[in-house]
Amino acid sequence: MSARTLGRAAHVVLTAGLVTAMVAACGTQFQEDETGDDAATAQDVTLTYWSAWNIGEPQQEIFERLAADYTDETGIEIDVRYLGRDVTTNLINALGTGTGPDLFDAGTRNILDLHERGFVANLDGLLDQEVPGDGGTVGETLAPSIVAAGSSEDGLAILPTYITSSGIWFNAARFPELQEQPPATWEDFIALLDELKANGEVPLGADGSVSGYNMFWFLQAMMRNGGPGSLRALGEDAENWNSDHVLASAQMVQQLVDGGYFQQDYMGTQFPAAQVAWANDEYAFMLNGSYMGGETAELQAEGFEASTFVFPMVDGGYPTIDVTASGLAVNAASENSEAATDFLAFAAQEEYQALYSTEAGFMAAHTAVEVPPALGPLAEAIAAAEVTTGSNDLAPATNPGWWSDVMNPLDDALFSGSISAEEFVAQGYEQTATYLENN
Amino acid sequence: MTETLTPRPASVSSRRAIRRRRRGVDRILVVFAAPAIVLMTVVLLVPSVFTVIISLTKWRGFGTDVAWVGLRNYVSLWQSEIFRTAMLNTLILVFVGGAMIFAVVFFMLIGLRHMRGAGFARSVVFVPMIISPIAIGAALGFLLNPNGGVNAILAAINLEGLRQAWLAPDFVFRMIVLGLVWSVSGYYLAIVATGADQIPIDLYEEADLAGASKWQQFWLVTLPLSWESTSVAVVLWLISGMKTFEIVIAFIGTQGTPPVQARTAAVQQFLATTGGPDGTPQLGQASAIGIAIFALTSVFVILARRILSRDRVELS
Amino acid sequence: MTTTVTPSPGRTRANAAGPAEQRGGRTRGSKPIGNHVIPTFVRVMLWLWVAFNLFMAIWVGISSLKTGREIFNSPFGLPSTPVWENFVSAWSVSGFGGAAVNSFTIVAVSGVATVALAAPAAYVISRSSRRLARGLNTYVALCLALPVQAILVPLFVARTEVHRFAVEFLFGWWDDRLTLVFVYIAVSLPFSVFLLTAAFASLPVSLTEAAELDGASPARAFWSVVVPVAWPGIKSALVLNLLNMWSETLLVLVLLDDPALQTLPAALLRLYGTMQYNANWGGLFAGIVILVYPMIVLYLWAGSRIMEGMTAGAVK
Repeated sequence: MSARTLGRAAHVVLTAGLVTAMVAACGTQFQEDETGDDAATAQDVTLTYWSAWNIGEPQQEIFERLAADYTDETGIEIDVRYLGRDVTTNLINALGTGTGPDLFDAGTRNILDLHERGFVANLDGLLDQEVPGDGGTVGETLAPSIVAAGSSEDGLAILPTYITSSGIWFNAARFPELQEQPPATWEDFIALLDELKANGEVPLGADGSVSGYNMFWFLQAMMRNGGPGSLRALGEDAENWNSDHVLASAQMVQQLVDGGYFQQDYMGTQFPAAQVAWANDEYAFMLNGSYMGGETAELQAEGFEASTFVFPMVDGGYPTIDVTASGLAVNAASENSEAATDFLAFAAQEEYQALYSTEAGFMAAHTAVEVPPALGPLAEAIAAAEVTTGSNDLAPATNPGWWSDVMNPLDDALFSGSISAEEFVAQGYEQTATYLENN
Repeated sequence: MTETLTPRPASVSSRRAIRRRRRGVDRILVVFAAPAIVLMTVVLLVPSVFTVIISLTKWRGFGTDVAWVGLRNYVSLWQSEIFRTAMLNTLILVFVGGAMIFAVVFFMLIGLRHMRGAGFARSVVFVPMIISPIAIGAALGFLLNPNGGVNAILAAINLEGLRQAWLAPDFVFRMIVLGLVWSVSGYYLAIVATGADQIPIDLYEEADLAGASKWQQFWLVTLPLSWESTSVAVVLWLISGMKTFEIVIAFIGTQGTPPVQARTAAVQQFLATTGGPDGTPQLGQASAIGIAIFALTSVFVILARRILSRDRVELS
Repeated sequence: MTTTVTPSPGRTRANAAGPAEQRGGRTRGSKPIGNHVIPTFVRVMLWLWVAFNLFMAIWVGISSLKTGREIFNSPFGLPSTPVWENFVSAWSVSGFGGAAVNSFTIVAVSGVATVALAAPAAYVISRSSRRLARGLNTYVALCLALPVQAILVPLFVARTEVHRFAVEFLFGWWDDRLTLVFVYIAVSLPFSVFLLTAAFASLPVSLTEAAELDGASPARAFWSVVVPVAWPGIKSALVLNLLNMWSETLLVLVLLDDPALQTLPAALLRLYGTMQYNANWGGLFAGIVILVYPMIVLYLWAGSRIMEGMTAGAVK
């Protein structure tokens, strides 16, 4: 395979006679990375920000408040577009064609990718910048593990504003004893599920139509059995599927399926039917992101007290916990990078960072901000954790095609019970080998 | 002499007139067609040339290197089980779904003749077409949810046994096909009816008197005389069926990725273009899928036009 | 059913009576099934279909007044107390107001321009005997087969370049909505030309002959004779285009990245996102009602005209 640039390809087309203004424009565009954008003019600075939040979400309201205060303080306007979760695709295109915003949302899941494309500015300088009003530097407000989760190999890529992890959600009003003594081992957990089932209750809820949530079970089992990097490794070499911890983890998932712990027809839910039902006390537990408490806050039954415990331990396993940092990144090609970085220092103030906890129900990244009560156990585990890993063990970030074409479909099949743990391993080996051969 | 000659000049001049008219239309051919053709070329054809080029590369989108890989994307599509499933789903949708749509259309044509409130019924059947697929997907999703309306009805009429996880990966594609048939049948009915409504009532009356059953009337009168609009509808269905995309996304909602069992080729292409929720595009592969859909659709359209083209039945 | 038997005296042809009596005897056996069972069955199914559509419309309306929990817990129940705030939150969050203005303008301009470009092209393609016309016909069919997803990335690049070029070299100003309009027109042209070619082909040739004998130019003959006669068909192409564009989502999302410029389907999609993450399901249904009910009302009001426009497409 000869690796040539598309410039050659574009050249072929041009010489083939398809010369129109548009073709030529596209051609130059394809030949090189952005050579620099000189379209913007230096008037009064206005920062642009493309948000992954939607109007009406608490995070959007937090940003509005932040932006308004910043404008009052500095006179710099912030022009925000609230684009929702679908922002990512357009963002990459816009950043690539030099029409991207100064600021945008990013997190552990896509920092590596954005960095590789050369789209995120290095924010190492921000760590030494003073936080206006609060005193101290930005670096002092962030725990080292969080800085690490917000960095690429070249340095800080975002101002982390909140962190997410995953854990098993339950209603502390219904299971007060679990707050003090959550099931310590997998066997304890299964025993608890059996007990609930024997009482005619539904032990586990799941929105099976969301493969990302189904994956949590296998992910957590792998993090216990194989440690960080073990899930990622499955996409790097098919041989890794033959490790014992892969089968062991798959068998844990199969055990849940065969045990009939999930609600009836859990694979066919219209998201978020299951988490709404959980909030209505219909199921005992759900393994989900640390954001689920916030998402269901409005729907929780009377007296409901959302809480979490960490995934139970296995014999000789790893105390791995997943930590994903999310926050604001600066466009590497921004003309206003200085103003943008200043804004991030302003945003690092405790007053604003606290809102992610109080208004949105998140674990704020700022060390001084208290964690919402529901997430206490998770936050403690994160603080104590020796071994951490990024979102989904960074498997989708490092091998996106394999993740969506091999891993997710296979995990769904395992989680729905249509294949056994052994079949899962065998097919995983085979499909990964084929995939790696073809790509 | 004069009597026999008189008709001649007239017929000669009318023939000349036909030739002149032909030449007339021929003369304005370029001027009349140019704006549409030029715009289609600039906005559709030129970009698709780029798609062809991109399909020969490995490219993850802006900011990443582009590697020339020749036909490898096509080869790997051919070997990819996921793509084969998506293509198979597309074909099932086009042919099985299409058969259902046209069965519905033809039955409705039979049923709607002389039915009281036919206009109203036809309008109502058409309504899903004016509603955004997103709204349709959201609403149907609530009905098909495990605790949703459909299972509630089944429980109420003691048919609990038919209960299903309608939206589960293994089942949802069937629901998507049904949802599509439900939402687009009115549209194709309208197109076929374009021709069927032109058929003079006398023909049916004659057929009635001749003792032909409704069924025979359909085959002997309705279908042949609305052949042209039917073939337009069939070709349009082939084309839009091959591109089926929005309704799948609508059924799954904005949260998840459609499961492999429910993906159409166009959905698979969209996922490769955007990179799915994790957002890393694989544009080379996406382009190859686009070209594959295009090639297959073209073959179907050409075949369909060959098969369906026949002399128009003239009524006078 | 009884009406089908009643002959309309004025139109019955005397000579039809003869063969009817002869053939009547032979087909009498199949008559009950053919004439009653099938149509009755079809009608029952049809009315069920209609009932389902009406039910969906009403159900969405009722759901829009419920709380999120009521929607999940009792899908068919009535709201304990109507939650009118759902509409307030849907309206304030969605930005439907501005999006509606965008939708109306973009769709109206694109739809009219598409048909204005497609009609002349379709006319000459259907009538010209030149070889070029056949070639163009095939070209249009191929463009029709091209899935728009396949050219998303080139279109995105072109959009950026067009914007830059217009701002820097041409007008010092550009609005991406204009780009969308051009793309909508180009994407809809193959479909429209295809549809209208069929409609024009079914017009009698004698129509223009007369006009041209009177010395009218071919262009004039088209404008003053063909267009008025083919008007229902043109109108039907217009209506179908407007409907397609009205619910188009993908191109809006790719070509317009400012929510203030986007159309209603994009606004609905964002609302879906918001309501899903906030679990404000009543708000989502309220949004659907705000979007869909006016369309249905408009459709019922103009429905007969739309249907007439569509079904009168191919005029003999």
